[in-house]
Amino acid sequence: MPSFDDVAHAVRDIVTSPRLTYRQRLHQLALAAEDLLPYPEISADARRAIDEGVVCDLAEGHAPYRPRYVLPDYATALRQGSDHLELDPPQSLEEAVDFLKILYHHVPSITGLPVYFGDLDTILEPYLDETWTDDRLDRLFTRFWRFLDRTIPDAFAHANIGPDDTPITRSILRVDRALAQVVPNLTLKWDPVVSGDGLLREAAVAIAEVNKPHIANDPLIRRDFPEGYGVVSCYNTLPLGGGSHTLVRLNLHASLAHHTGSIERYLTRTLPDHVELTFEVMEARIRFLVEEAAFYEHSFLVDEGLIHPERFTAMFGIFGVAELVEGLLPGCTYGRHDEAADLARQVIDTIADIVQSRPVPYCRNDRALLHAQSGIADDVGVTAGARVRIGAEPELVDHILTVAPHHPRFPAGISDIFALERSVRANPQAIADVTKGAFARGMREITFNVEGSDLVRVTGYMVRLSDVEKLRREASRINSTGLGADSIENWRLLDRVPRVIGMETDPRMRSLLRSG
Amino acid sequence: MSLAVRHPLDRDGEILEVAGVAPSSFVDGPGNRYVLFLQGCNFDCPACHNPTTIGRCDGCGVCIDVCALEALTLPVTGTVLFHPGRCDSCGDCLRVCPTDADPTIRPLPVDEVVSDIAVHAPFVSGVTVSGGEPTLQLDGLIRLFTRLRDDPGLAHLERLVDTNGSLDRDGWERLLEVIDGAMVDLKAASPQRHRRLTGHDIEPVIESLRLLAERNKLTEVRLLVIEGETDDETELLAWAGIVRSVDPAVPVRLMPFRRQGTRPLARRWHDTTPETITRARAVLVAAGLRNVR
Repeated sequence: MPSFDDVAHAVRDIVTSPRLTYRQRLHQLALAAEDLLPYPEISADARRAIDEGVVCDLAEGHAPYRPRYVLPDYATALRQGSDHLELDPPQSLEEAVDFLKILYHHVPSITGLPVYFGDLDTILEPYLDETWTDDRLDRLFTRFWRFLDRTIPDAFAHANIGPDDTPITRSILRVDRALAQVVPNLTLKWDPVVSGDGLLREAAVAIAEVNKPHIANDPLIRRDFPEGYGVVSCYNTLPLGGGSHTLVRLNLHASLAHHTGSIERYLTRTLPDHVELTFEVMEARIRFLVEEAAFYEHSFLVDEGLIHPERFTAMFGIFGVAELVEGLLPGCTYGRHDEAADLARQVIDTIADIVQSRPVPYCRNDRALLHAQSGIADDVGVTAGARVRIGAEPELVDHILTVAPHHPRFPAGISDIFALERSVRANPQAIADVTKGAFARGMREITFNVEGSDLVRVTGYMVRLSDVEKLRREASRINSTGLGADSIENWRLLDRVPRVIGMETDPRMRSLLRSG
Repeated sequence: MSLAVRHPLDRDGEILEVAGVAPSSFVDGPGNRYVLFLQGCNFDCPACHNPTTIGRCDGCGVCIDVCALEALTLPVTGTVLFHPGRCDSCGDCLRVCPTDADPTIRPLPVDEVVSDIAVHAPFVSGVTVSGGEPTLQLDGLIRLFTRLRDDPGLAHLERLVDTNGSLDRDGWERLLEVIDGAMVDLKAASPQRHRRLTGHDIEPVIESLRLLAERNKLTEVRLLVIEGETDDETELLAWAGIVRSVDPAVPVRLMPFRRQGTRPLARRWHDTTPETITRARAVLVAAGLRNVR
């Protein structure tokens, strides 16, 4: 336990911080208070794993009293209204948007703000009538988008659109691109048959300008979630009407530091031991949330059928695949050498097999879901998820072919950020081409950062570089700016090698002839 | 392959002398492109930013002496052998080459190129063959495009060439059978300037433009904008006049000149500014070109 003086000191730091707004101070105070409680009961081994950085609970707090990610079934809410909120079902598109704005206010998550705004085009489409011209829609969504960005100022808050190509889908893409806001984060669920090339092309035009939306391979992901799914926060794909109790991560780079012996021994002993310690922490946290805090017994979201406890899973995150395989195979570079890719595959298969077979209490289908964790600002020197190290990226297609085979093993999401040279702005079809190729090769999702945009993607969330610059002097109205600033600095994030360089600038690029 | 062997010039069009490959390019046609750069060019443009693709190795062996790592050898007179495992890409061989060739490239069988394209096919809209001047290796080029056209898995890829427009009518007649279009550089409008900037006459280029437009295969016409050479109003108006007479609606792309990579002859020019490009675009549009990018 920290001493009273220590706590008082920390509290004082929070309430006087010039870099925090009023609401940010309030949120920090809540975290400080929560951490006065003892951690949920775990073994000494698990405690040590956390202290040594092998297992990371993302500083979720000592006493989980709300799930990490909540994905309410907004369509049901709109259909039935809400007794708790004393709201009748909305009758028009404008009423529906107002209804959602109210409901968002009551949706918890780890950030204190909602991480999921719903599949907005799908849930709002029933309210569309002939009076809604494109121009009117654009004005409505401009107002809606400003409301979200100003009142839910957190880049983990995520809207989904698609796979149907509706007037609302198009309007959201137009408005989002014109406003270039951090919030909401945006994912297009794309299906080659349902959505078509036109919608992908429109998304590509937006990406070329503002690095949004992220694109999800809808037919592939849908197979894993018969109840429906949403993409929330940083590329987390989770069951609709449910979510994730918690996210606990295994740092594979740190795991290697606690291993001696052969690769074989790592795969059969060290790794499974560390996986089990991760599960232990996860399980303790879930039990506290469900049994002690009893969140699901006291939520109107449950009572009104907007979330279902049996649709909550837990996310098992891994990161540092690159450093692990390069540590086990000295001289090999992940992304460049086949041996490294093969070993990465073995490591991921080993973990995925355990995650698929180990029961976890209070979880959907009694299982957690594997997730390639995009990382946090503190992950200095460790590469996110199963990504290739920043600076070690092979040519674009080779890069995709390196990571694509891992994707089927990560039902809760896996991401990579492909940095593109700014020349793509004049040729957005190229983004659509690469996306289609990646999806044809089994990638679940894809995201791009085009050089030279103010709005850039950090892990999965967005930050404006101009806000980062401003944060040096004053508080940012957007909660996630600080995380983004630290990540950019700690990860050399802006150093990701842009693809594609043309022969025009580098005649000595990869070539068939020099492969030897 | 541990040892790359330079073949004598292949006569059957089964071998392509390839200077480089860009499996993804955003600047060589619509969408993401697989781009093959063929070695050798008949023009000799001071502004060329890739002069090592101009010449073709004649086996003189000057490069052997400067290669400290012995990555280049001359086992038989007239045949330079490249050992990629020893090369550290220092570029010394390129700097000393009297013919502006690249001794490190290896002739590639067309089949090998097709296999590599097949790997990248799901990711691209099409294949662009550039250079150098790709039509100098006409037999191999036609063979490559024929293979792509006739392969059911690759036939959907758009097939383009990026050319200086010097190919003669007979050559075009053969090539047009297998390509979807050509992007052509028209480097100047006045005959003297064209000769000074390329070393060649302008007439064959204009004839190529007309033929391609007639057959609906002129994908794009490009102008390299060099300040003090091709950016003055008279020159631009004359250029617009030529293009307008060919097809006023053809897509036109203006490329800013860059000093980087050029030979000393081009050092008297400055990098072209965005303002100059904007001004040039306005002149061309005012002169009746409808699709200037």
